[in-house]
Amino acid sequence: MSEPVETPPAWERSPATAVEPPALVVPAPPTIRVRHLWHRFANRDVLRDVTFDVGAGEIFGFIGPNGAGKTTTIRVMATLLEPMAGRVEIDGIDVTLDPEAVRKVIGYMPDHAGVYDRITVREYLEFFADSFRVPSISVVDAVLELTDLGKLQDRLVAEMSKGMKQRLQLARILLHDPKVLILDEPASDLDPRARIEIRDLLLELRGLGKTIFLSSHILTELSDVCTSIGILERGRLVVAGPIHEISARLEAIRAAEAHGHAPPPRYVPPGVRALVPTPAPTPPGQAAPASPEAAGAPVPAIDPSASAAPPQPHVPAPVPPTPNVRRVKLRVLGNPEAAAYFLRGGPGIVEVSVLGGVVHVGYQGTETKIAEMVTHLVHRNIGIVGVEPERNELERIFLEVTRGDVQ
Amino acid sequence: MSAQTGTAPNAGASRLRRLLDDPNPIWIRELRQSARLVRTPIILCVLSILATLAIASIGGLVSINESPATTGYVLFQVFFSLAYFVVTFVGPAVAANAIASEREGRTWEAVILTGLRPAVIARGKFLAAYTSISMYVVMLAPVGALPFLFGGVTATETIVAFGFLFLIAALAVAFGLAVSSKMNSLRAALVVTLICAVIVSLNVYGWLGVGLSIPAHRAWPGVPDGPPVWLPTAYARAPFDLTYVLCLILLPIVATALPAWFLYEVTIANLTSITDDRSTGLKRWFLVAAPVFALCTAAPIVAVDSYDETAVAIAGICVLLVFLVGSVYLFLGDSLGPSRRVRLHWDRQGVGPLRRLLGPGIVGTSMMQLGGAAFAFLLPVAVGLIAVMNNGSPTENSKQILLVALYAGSFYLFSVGFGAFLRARSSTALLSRILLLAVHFLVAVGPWIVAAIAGIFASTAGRSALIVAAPSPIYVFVAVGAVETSGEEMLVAAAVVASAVWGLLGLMFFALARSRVRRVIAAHEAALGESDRILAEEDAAAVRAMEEAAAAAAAQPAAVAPPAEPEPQAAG
Repeated sequence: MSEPVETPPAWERSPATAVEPPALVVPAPPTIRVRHLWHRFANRDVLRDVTFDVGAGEIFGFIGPNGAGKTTTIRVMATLLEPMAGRVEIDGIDVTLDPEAVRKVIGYMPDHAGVYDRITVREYLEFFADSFRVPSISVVDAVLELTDLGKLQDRLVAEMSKGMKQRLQLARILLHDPKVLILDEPASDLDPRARIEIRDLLLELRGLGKTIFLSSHILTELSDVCTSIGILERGRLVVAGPIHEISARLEAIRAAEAHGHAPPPRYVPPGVRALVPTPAPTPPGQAAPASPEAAGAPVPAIDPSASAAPPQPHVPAPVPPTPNVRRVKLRVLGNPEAAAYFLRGGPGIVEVSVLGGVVHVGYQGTETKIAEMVTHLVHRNIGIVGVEPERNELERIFLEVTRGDVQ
Repeated sequence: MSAQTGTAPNAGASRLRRLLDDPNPIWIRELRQSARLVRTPIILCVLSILATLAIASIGGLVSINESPATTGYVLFQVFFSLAYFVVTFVGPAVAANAIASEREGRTWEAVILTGLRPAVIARGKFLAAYTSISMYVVMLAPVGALPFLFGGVTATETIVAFGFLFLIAALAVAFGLAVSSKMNSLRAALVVTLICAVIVSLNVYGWLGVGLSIPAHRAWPGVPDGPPVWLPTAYARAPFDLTYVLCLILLPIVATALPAWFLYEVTIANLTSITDDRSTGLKRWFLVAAPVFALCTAAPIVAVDSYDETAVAIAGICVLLVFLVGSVYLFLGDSLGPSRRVRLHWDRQGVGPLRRLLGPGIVGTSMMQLGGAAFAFLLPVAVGLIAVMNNGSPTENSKQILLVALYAGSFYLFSVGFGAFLRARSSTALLSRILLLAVHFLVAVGPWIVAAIAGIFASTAGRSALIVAAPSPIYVFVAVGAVETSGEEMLVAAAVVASAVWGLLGLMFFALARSRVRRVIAAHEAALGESDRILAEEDAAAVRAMEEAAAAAAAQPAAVAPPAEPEPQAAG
């Protein structure tokens, strides 16, 4: 009796087996939906046509300079402020029409929130458990355990550190098991250890299926946890979407510009300022600019909820176990492609690309790796004229898309 | 189940049992916080020691020359006067701390986001502050028993006095809470509350204490005239009859319940979002308070001598007018109309038209005020007219009452109409209130200033020149005097004309306000409709695009699929 032949793995992915008609994917509705939001204080528009979506299970980082309108947006979402125009829906509920229902599905932690000092941690949580009408006392124990505050449950709140108070705030907003957590600057004024702890806690909460909306000034902190971001400047949403998509888009634009092409024309939905100015019409006879699609770069959903764009299925991207990839830009004498050739595949080298005559290298390891790269290239007769560590990806995006204006 | 107390309420349990098993969470939390405040027991001890020393010293001094019974009565007066001021100063201060401190300490938002209703928050804060002030009274209670050592007062008087102390404490706390609910700053809340508390408590002590003791002595000779704490004595010494029931049972209940209800509703309204229904509670209070107040102004007409009936009726109408005009200022805080959210809740709950009339909306509020006021004015006017008709010389007195009622009614109509107009035109309620106050002041005082500048008071033309002051509501007293004097019919006619003008102006302003409110609401609704339409179109476009994308995705693989490769043959 013959052994059955094992089907090669490649065959499992063959087109023949993939011709089944795909099922119609019904996109999950976004958990947070902000549409054409306007707000004004006195004669100043603090929010201007802000539109974005946050899908279920995402960690959405809301970034912007001071006075950009982040807290106003958050307060509207938290039902503490009514928008002058536009609509905000949390879990499909309009915050203006049914704030009581919205309050049941959100947990809001404001920046610099106060706490009651003369009660213990447990008493504090018991009070909010009663106020939320939590049916069981065991919820308090569960939240204490989740936030690792069990050991401090009999300590007076007044005697706690800032980091622990932030943790207590986070525990408070988890008592009624909300679907959405809205955190305004949760790590401000915290020391590095407390920040790391809060970040880890957020990742754990995301694992529990919470959608987290988070504003912060600390970009490195956001880049560690966020699956998507929105950047707000002078009350307008400049860009929104997954970080890697925005990054790729910007990279493509940069590449096009480096090759002397005008940036590609693209649709800019209402409320979102163009990343690049609208290009001038192409003169007859000149080659059309290479679009990012043509260059193989994915096009980010700059504003997924915009009127002309269909809502994309929001499947939360799993947080990859991010290897700590550092980046450096090398300016070389002679052919940069040759330098890139020599570097590719080297130990610890993750990626190499040439953009605008500059070699961009992603690597893992310490800074001695840069020295090794330089030595390696010099030994191959490639002169190095500049070495410049690249910024954090999110910082780069932020600096690129904002103008530094304040209201 | 209450996590704080570890108890669960039973479904069939009494209200008190449920309150104990499932207590207000804010109340319990505040009690826990207060229990850890070190200064509270120290303050209580110091206060008790000082009160004991004061009472002992005064008792020692008085007993040198007076009999023990007199000494006991003096100590009774001194103790309860001191306790009254402690309660009326400390109570509002403690309550003022309640909500303003949460707002200043940035814990307020966390509380309202729990979904606790404003009424629950208000009750929790009230109970916490009231418990705190009650501790002061309880600590002072042993000192209050010292007069028993001397005699002169009965146990009933002391118990009733303590009962009133708790009642006054409740009102004081409710007042402090109402102020606190409006303020964002703790200091501002404390300052405003204490200034108001000092003014009100001194006036109440003077007028209702010392002042009312004289008529009380006339009514019940057993009650001494002069001492401020006469009410507990009256309960023990007055004969039980209809006057007793009316003055010592019904009147105190009304005098306590109506302000307490008002302060409760004001607190809830202040804690409620401006786009929620913050009108219904206050309107309910008004619809009850206006007739009750009118009844209180009409009752003395029956009680006084026939000679004073007209004066008392006129005074009653004037007092009622002051109350009603005050309510105009109160309801200027109403919004132009119910918000979408409120209408949605009404629709969900199937609310009827009457309940909707009690909801937000300045036009409905004005109509409700006019209806309530018409009924309220009718009471003292009708009672006054009936009383003077029975006296034999009815014509002039009736004319006087009718004249005052006409002027008061038409001026009230003007106030309501003009108030609604201002509210419809201005962006904030505060601005409307300030403008209305300015107009009221100008109207009341302006004509008299004009008359003084023109030298009319000293002119030889006599009283007829006072006709220039007819627009002032105070002028009605000139017209009332003119009814009895021959040859001054012009003054009376001027009052009637002024009333007619005020009434017409009121109607005109009300019509303008109504038209403006309709326009504003229509524009608002149109904007909302447009916004809904745009969003719906966006949704439809998104759905279409999604369907097209899905259809394209379904068609594409079949078109580009390469021919299937042959299956490898199994070996053997």
